[in-house]
Amino acid sequence: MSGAAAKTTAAQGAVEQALAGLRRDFCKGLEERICRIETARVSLGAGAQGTARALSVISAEAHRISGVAGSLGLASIGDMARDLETAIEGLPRGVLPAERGAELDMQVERLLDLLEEHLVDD
Amino acid sequence: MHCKNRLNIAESCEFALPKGEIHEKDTILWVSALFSPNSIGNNRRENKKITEVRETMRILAVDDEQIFCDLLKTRLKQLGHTQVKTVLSGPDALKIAAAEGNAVECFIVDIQMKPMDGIELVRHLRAIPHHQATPIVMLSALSDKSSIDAAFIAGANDYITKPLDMVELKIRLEMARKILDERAHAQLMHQHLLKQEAILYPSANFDGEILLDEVDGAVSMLSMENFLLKQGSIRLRQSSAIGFHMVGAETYFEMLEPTYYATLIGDIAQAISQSLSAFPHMLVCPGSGDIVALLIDESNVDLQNIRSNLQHQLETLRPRFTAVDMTLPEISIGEPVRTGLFGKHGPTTLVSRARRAGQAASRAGSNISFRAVA
Repeated sequence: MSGAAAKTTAAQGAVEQALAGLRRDFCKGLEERICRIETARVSLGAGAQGTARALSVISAEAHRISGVAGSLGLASIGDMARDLETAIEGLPRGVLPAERGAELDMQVERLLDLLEEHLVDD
Repeated sequence: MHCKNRLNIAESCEFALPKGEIHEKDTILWVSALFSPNSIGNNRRENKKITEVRETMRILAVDDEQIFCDLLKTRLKQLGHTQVKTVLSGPDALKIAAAEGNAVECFIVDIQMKPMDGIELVRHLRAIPHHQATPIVMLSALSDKSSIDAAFIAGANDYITKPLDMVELKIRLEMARKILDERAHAQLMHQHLLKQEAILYPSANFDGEILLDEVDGAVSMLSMENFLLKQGSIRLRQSSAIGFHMVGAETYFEMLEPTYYATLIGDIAQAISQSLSAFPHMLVCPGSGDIVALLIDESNVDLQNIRSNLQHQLETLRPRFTAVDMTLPEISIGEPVRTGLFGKHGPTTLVSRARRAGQAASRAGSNISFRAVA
């Protein structure tokens, strides 16, 4: 292997290592994200104000997860989080119509399950 | 109105300028190389210095996710950008932007942040005099279309979608560097124009783009083309471009010193921008007395209304013209142009088609006429 090629391989290796570290950090932090979503989820349907706030929290968290997970190569999490965010965006502003409640709750549940699968211990 | 327009006459330049720190010495070297026939091509060492191009930029990235900041830093390093700072909020970014002056050469800004979102941050950054022209690339989710429009209107130059894609990141940063180049050329010429306007006057380019840094909604041609290219064809079909033309622009250009001519164009562009304030819009000044406005998501334009608004706005300029014994220019407004869904016209031809429509209206004589009171 030439000197230049070895250098490139080493640089690529360093990037991969850095990305693996970031993926690990992301998975370590999933517990907090799960907690935030779970807490908000409890308020869904608990009055107009509580629902609006819960939808806002879940949407913001889904947005953040989607951006980071997708960029770290965790496409399944990224896609599911984005679908949830899109579903909330499609609702009338801050309102969860009764007929959509169960469906949205199921979507939240599926995302939480997936996040739990990726949990790692500190 | 205080207008600090810059003439971009870089098209007449034969050299690529060095990026990054530009010192007075470089300015003199470059300008003398441009205007002294004896020096062009005779000094290899100096020409090499002039054409030397730095590949990286000093970047400030703003995202409220620490992991994303770290990821971005890693990816940027992979692309050769080693001078990258990251912060987690708009206010922190503003502190750095204000404190370090021109040290930041490119901003990467997430749209969805709290408490200050990316669009508000762009507005604040553009209000800092030395960052009026610094490239700003937005980070957004694919679903943020309306926010992306708002970011462009606030002064952003481009955007990258999340999840981050390396190829896209590379292309967008190359675009930012191109904008940086363009601005560096213009800035150098502007600085020199202020000092030696008389010498440079014959070289100012009537056909060249004028960068209207202080006009609401004004962007560079590069930024507008970039925006148009990123719009889907269906969405773009809902937008219109209107060409405005200053009648007799060449006469004004010949009569006025370049910076005054640029200020005149800036004043007219500001009047146009104000007359379009009801619509989300962008403006460019591609040269030759043309100004093109892109009305985003507005396909049904009431031209008569715009006409009367513009007339009103231009009237406010009258005292300034009267004071210097000058005639207010006549402005023609072209018919709005749009892109067809299956038409032969690509999105970037929208500006040239609008320009032609503005010029055609001028030839037809349907101009808004203002005559200074004698």
